[in-house]
Amino acid sequence: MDAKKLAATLHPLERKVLPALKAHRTVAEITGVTGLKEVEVVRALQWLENKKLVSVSVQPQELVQLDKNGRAYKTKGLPERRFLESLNGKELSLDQISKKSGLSNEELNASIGVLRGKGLIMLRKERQLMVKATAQASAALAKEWPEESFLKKQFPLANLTADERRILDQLKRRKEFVTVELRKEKIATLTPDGERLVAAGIGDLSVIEQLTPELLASGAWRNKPFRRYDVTANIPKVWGGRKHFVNEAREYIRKIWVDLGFTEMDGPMLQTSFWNLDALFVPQDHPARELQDTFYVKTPATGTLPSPALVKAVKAAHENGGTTGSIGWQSPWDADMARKNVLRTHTTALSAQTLARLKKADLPAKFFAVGRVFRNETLDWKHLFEFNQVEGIVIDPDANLRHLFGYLKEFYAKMGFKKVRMVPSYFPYTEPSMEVQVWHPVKNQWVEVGGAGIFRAEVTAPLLGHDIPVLAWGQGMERIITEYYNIADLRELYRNDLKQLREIKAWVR
Amino acid sequence: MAGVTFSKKRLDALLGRKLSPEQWDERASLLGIGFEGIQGDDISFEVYPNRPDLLSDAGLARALRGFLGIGKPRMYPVKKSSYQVIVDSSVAKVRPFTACAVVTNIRFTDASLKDLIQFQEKLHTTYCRNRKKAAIGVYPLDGITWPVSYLARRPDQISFQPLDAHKALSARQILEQHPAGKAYGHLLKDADKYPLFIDAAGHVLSMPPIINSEHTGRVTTRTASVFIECSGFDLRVVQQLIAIIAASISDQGGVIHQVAVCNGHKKVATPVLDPVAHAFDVGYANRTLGTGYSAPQASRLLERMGHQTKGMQVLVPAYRIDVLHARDLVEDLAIAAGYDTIQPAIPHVAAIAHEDPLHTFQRRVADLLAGLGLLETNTFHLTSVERQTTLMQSTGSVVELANSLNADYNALRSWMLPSLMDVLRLNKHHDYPQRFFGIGAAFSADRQSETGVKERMKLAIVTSHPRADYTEIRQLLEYMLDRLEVKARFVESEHPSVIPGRAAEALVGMIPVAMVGELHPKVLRSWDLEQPVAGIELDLEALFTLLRK
Repeated sequence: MDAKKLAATLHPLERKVLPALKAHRTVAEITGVTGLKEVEVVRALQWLENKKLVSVSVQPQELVQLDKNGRAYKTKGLPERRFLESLNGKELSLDQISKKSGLSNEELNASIGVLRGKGLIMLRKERQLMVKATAQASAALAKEWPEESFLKKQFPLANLTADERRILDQLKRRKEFVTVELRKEKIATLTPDGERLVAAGIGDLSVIEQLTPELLASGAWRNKPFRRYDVTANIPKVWGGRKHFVNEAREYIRKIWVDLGFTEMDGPMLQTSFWNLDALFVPQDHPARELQDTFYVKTPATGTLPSPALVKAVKAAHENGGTTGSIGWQSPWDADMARKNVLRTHTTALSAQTLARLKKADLPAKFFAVGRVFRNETLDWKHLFEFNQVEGIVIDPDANLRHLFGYLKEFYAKMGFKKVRMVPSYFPYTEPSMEVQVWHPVKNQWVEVGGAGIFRAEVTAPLLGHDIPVLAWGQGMERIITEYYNIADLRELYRNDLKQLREIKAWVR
Repeated sequence: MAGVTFSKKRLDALLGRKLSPEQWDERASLLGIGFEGIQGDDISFEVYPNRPDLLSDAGLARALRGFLGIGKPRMYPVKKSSYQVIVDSSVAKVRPFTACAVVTNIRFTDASLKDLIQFQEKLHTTYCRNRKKAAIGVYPLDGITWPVSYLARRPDQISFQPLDAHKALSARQILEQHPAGKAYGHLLKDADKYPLFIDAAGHVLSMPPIINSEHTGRVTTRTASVFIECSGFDLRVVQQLIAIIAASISDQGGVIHQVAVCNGHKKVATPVLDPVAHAFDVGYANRTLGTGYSAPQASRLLERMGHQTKGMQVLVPAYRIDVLHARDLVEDLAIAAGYDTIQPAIPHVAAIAHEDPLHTFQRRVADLLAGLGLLETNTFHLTSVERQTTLMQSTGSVVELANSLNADYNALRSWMLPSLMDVLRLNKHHDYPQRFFGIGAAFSADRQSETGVKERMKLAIVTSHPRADYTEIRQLLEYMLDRLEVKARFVESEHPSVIPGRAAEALVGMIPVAMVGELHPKVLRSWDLEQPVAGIELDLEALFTLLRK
């Protein structure tokens, strides 16, 4: 860029700072000569650096400030001078000096130390300590002491001379006199380009900084050029309001199932064991019912069971298969266990309730849910006690395993997983049962993402009143979305950190 | 899932074929067994709870041989014998049932003995539900004088030397001092009599489900014949268990002998290893799977899973206790064929989808609030009683959990505002202003509902910065209500969490929908917050119901 064009891009702040850089280098100095605020100088230096006109280096620097006592002595005078003055040629006790000078005990002691060091007082031990000025005292009082010259300097004080440093070393030992801070000082130097531009002169270019309604109305904008911006420079960030990223992903998942013609199910998170387990043919001695796996409620510990006919059919399915063609679990079924309230351990509880409500005229039917489920886990990077499950059921006399694979393959393709496989697995409520795995291109391995199967007759016959194929699945939502958001620690999903909520990438599938 | 580790050398021999780790991984998972890896001679798997027969190396090898087409399913002959176990009526109340077997001609090696012990232990922890449902005992046959009795005695009448003890102990000492007694003693806690197996010479074999005796209950590599018993509360369960164990030992060359279990005048010979016949229809299988197998094809596939076909019947081996219904055989057919051979398809049937209207409404509200520059949060339903009440200076009732592992999460939230206070506390180190909202279910007691608890969708909004006040938070609420065309009146109210005179209730008609106000400094202090907070708690479900009218 030629010098003239370059000069036209300079912001008014840069115009003030750039010429000052010929003689001055630190932000403090530039602030002094230009009359700008420190932030303005820093900003201008940043822009000039972007334009490669200035190079800014950072050097640690000692910065001396007066502390509480230092500031007080600057106006009231040094305690040792006030001490010496109070003697006024007489020999006095410490009490008398204290009264006359108004110095504190600490200041008296400090003063004695300093004045003896300078040979300006003599001490005599009586009942009390007696102090008398020496012959040199009056001559000394007439002069300005080096400490006093130091106090008169401009603070904060940097770039100390050897003399100043010697005094500073003494003062540092005195209580709350000075503080020394190590600050990283920015040092700005003109680059060869900068030197050339300053030498050529940036001109007294009168430019329009901001187009105003007044300039627009008067047409005065025609008379002056607009200052050129450095449009490549970094600018401050802004932040917007957003929906939670997990909810955004959840919305997308809901949309997939709606697009596939599924109707959404909803229902309570607190359920009786009947819906969560018994209606799903989970045997009553199954480990899932144990305290370490499932959350139970203190009060009300139990709920009520649905219609006696349904309870009877479920009981029969468990005990001997009832009319389902199964032999059942061959052990007694206890209604009291089914009454226990639990936080649902899977959204399959909703599927069971949906089946129980379904009428023959509604068939074929397809349902889905994306809902919270609960497991009594200790919170750590790969375990949450609350997470989401993506549930689906297809109730259709013509449904078969190929359709189950088809729906899941389609779902995972839309979630960005191209390779899906089914591996034999076991759930008490489905047969055939399978674990759904997707190929993880980064980990380079198959990852388990959920379970699926066809509901057993022991589940469908009691709930529907007849056994027709019901395809069913429950997929772990968190596992499917963490890869997209690049999250390894599951707790990150529900931490609600302001920075994360603002900055995490948008869901753009 | 139960983890098992076998000797790879032994498993190779039982299988009659050597597989590479990749082949193990692929073949086992196609069969429904999780392959965990190989380390030295150790090979590890995860087995699903419906297949206890796979918990021994012989059982796993047997399943894989069929699946890979190595050999045909074999029969399990059981020899007649005169062994008798007499069940005394005294066990009826403590542990009523037993099923037994005698196996001879065994050549135990260190590896096969180790596997038998692991098999027994894995059966105990999984299928036997930590010995609660049933327990298994194995004894050298040589030391036993027949017949054996299964009876129950008062604890003070019991004394024998348990395994790994140096002297005879009383029943109470065993429960209090012996490791097995400490681990399983609770299973006998409420019994006034403890069960025992005793031989005709009066020697105690064991005290199930706790421990064998040192005298007659230690199996070593020199043992060639064993007596096995299962005891428990369900006759079918103990009979199945003995069949599974007998089949596994038989696969390693052992000869199985019947034991007559005499219960009063009833006499049952165990183990029964005859296959069980199930009706099977290929058409049903094809309809379920969406396939087109012919009867001979189906029969060949089922054979690979250990079943034999006889006309319209399938003969299921006695150890396959997971087969309850014809559907279980359909799954076996699909596994034998390979799930990967079943082609995915989506039927072209029109269906009209419906979204849940409350969820949709929730997202619309979230859109409105995000448009105001607020950040949506997503918090747990689980919280603590303290956060719901004391920290908010309020005294509402909270649904508490009975068994949470986590004291910070021992209750279900009854309102949303505390969840957002938690979010503010967490974000204290970030810059202000901070404005958040959250939508979620809140729980409260309700006699009308099935569980006695109702769940309602609620919304909370907070704004926090040096000038956060009533006006600002009400502006946010009014913006939202205006866009929904809901007319609300604000009336002065009192709320323990809010500064007196700065709390309002928003009423739509006569129905209260929201509480609005500036949070009390006491509340801010208890949450350790240093900036003022104004907040809203709104019953989103009430608003939704009003809008639908």
